[in-house]
Amino acid sequence: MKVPVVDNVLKLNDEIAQSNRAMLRASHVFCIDLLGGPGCGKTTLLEATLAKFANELRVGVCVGDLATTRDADRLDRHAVQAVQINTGRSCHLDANQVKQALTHLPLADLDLLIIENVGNLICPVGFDLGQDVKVGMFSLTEGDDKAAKHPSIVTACDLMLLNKMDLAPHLTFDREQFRDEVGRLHPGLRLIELSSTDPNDAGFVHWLNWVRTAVQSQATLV
Amino acid sequence: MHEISIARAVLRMVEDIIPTGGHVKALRLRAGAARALEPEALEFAWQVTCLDSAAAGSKLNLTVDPWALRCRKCGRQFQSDDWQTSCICGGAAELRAADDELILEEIDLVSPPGQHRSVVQGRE
Ligand SMILES: Nc1nc2c(ncn2[C@@H]2O[C@H](COP(=O)(O)OP(=O)(O)OP(=O)(O)O)[C@@H](O)[C@H]2O)c(=O)[nH]1
Ligand SMILES: [Mg+2]
Ligand SMILES: [Zn+2]
Ligand SMILES: [Zn+2]
Repeated sequence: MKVPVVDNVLKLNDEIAQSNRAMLRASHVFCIDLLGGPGCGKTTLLEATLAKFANELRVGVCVGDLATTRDADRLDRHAVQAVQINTGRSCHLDANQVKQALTHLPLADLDLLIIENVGNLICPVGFDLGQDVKVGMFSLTEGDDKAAKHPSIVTACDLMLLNKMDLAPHLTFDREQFRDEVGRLHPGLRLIELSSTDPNDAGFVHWLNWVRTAVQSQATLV
Repeated sequence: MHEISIARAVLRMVEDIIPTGGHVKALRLRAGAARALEPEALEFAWQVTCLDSAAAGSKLNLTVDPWALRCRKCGRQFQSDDWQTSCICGGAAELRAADDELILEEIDLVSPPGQHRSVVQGRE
């Protein structure tokens, strides 16, 4: 007997994500899900970003990793609160893990929550966590073909960062081709080239301004 | 790896739907291209996940929809499994939309004897 179903397989995850989103909205916290491959520079970006926003925004972070609390330790000095989620063998964060993490965060005292997802270009993309925006990150050392090979992260994100620009003189990375492929996968997507190790450079300032604008637009919504 | 999480989500859903004593023969799923799922990888994950369940040994058939593309040169709309496919006019294409749906469409079920058609939940 064939039984028609027609229902979203990730319904359960998506429902929890929706309730996370409602909870964050109610506390006026803007939420960014940061996605990128292993070692592309996510934690370095967050360290520098938190330092820059120290007297301006109250930022909480939530870091997903297979093991260790190293990333959370690195961020703890700068954040209002840093929560580590060890995913064990899972290669991505899901909405339920974030729901648990939210209970450890002082939401009423935050303006912004940044979730550093597990370093992985494929899995985390398809799991809604309750974020307002997804920010994708590639770095020069990964090679200029990564957008083309991992289209889903490009189509899913609301902003794309290209990190480690300081290394450009030492690498062959076709920036025109990369830009073209990102533009064809996600027409109109903003791409910011920056170095997380160089927070005073123009690219990093563009990133900070993008975050500011996003947080403000959310604040005026509610 | 995310195939395992997805297989688990499918199993949870299937167990919610099928009547007690029922056994699943096959499942049909459909995914958008942006879901980045390999039918073989998902089928493998499924075989491991469904082992001790009412769906043990069942076949999971996943259909992946192609990318929806638009030629930048002539505007023609077409579909392809490879997003980098060029238009017949030679122009490069861009994505029209990125579909990341993942839908369980149908369960092929063997009901226990004496049981009638079960009530099925789910949106129409
Ligand atoms: N030259 C250069 N190195 C960078 C930059 N950003 C990060 N790195 C280096 O890249 C390495 C990895 O950086 P992380 O910030 O730990 O990367 P990650 O994405 O958080 O890594 P995982 O969480 O393990 O996936 C470190 O050695 C950083 O110092 C950059 O802009 N320029
Ligand atoms: Mg990190
Ligand atoms: Zn995964
Ligand atoms: Zn054409």
